[in-house]
Amino acid sequence: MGSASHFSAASISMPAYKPWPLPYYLDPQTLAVDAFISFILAILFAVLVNAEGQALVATLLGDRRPGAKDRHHYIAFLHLDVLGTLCFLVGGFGWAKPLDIDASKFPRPFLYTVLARSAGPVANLLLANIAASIVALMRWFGATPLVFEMVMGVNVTMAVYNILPLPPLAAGEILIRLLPPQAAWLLRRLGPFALLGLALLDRLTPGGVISPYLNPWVHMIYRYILGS
Amino acid sequence: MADKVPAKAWVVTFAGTAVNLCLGILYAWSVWAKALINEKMVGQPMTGINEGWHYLSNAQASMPFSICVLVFALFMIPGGRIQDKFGPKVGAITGGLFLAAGCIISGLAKSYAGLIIGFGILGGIGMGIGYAAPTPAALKWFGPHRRGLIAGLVVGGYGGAALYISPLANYLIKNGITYSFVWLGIFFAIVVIIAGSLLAWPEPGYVPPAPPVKPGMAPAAPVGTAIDWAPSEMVKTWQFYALMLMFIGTTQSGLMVIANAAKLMAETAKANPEVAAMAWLLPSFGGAVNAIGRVGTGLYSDKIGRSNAYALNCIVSALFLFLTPFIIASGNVYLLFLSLGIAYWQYGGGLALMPSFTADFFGPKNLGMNYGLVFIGWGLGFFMARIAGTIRDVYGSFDYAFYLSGLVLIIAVVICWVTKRPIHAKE
Repeated sequence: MGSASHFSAASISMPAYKPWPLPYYLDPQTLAVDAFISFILAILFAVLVNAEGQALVATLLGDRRPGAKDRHHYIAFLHLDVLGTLCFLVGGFGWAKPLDIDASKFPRPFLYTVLARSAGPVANLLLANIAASIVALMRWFGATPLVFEMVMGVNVTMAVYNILPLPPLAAGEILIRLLPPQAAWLLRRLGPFALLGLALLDRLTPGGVISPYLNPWVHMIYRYILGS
Repeated sequence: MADKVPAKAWVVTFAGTAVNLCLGILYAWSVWAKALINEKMVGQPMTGINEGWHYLSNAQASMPFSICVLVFALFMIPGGRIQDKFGPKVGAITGGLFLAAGCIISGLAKSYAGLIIGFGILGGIGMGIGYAAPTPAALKWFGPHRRGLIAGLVVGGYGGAALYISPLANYLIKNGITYSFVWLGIFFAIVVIIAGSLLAWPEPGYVPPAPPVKPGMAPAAPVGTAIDWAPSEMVKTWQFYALMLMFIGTTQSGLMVIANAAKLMAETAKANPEVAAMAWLLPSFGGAVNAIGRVGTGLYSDKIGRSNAYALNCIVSALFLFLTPFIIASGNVYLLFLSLGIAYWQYGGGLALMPSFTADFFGPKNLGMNYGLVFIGWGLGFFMARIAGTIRDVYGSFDYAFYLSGLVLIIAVVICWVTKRPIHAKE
């Protein structure tokens, strides 16, 4: 065992291979089967923990639903949302099938809604941490953890983009609790389309519209989690 | 109540071991990786028996393996659902056929994409669906006093696969990469169809035999629940989280030592240069002790009780973790192997104990799904393994990581002692 194989911050920050871009965007010109499949898998994991995280916290805080079909099944495919998945493919971020949370069951409706909705991105960051553990472990063994870096990247991206104030992203769900019922209804209907449009606009505009503001956060959190 | 399990119960157990022996193919990936990697000739065609294949880079070669692990994880809980709903035959055979198809496609496609789709995706689906089937099916036949041994035997199959698939694949690969994949695929299909169709649940109303009662002694108090808890009921008990913490305990110390085994060898070699010569022994030694630890721990957990077996494993392991810094300094290779062996044993034992705990606490009926949820603790155990690396960077040695890990193990033992099975509202 030479000193080069020792686990150190230096070996973490400088992988010996070319990492995939962060956040990952589908690009028809450079589309490759390995990156594409890793991306899809990472989306499945991100959507799964996001939705189940919200469901778990909502249940613990008082919104109990014995026999509910939309939560606690831990099957990623059933959490996929059509527009949310499309948004992942277009803009690198997206959302899970919106989880129905009944705030009237909470002793403190607004505060607990904030907690339950934030649990989604928090769960994404936790998963990114687990993936980072595997990345570190694989680098110890000299293996290439590109797939797990993808899981990290997609989860961090999803967590960060949840601060966009449009439902069904977490900040949007919190925002519509503050709006009058009419506006909330309208925003809930339009939110997903607005987000998809925003993602498309961001991709088509040179330099981007929202990504210049959010991607630095993605990079910062990603580096922090990886410990470098 | 019968005092002996029917012969069918043992048939199911060993059929389960056979299914797991096939599913453990993941361990043999390195054999193919070695044949495929050539950093200097990436993308160039191979010649001879491997005509049609192209050389891969290191990064490419780890891709099918990583994807397989992720797909495996994604399908494990749906796999538990399938087994709870349609029975173990459907689960095991579906899983096995996916895996077999994956191997054959990998072989015939002769390409990087074929490996990702065949070995990675189809293989991962097969393992995820199949892994959930054998253990719960076998456990349903036995009373709680036998669960440890049975779980150990069935889960041991997965670990035991490491011992035979690598040599087998090594042998087959001499006739070409395609040949090895296709024949392993056919072999798996045959074994899984035969073994899978032997898996069965007992008839409804079957009561597993109680432990034999010695004359003059009161019958033992039942250790397991008589009620089958639904997953949604289980997640509301604090005992579920206690089990998860116990899983984190065994995983973190086991993985920390396993992940750093090569480096520990290197550090010991500083005091005693002859140690380096024995490094090649480490993987097979670890694999064997890990597999034996699963069966062994299962065996004595039936005799002395689940909690006592857990405590025994963890306390001995903690003791050696506290001693490891001194062992490294001493340069004694036998003590090092002993201390590594104990960590491997404890890690394997934990993998055998946790399904039994889950069955004792929450009943066998929904074990597939319930154990899938408890298994999240294994994923979280990775955290600690990473902290060890950070501690080494900060303090320049692993010593504090070992002390911390030992401490966590002791805490896990305390949690284990205070955790008694939950009482269902209907009991």
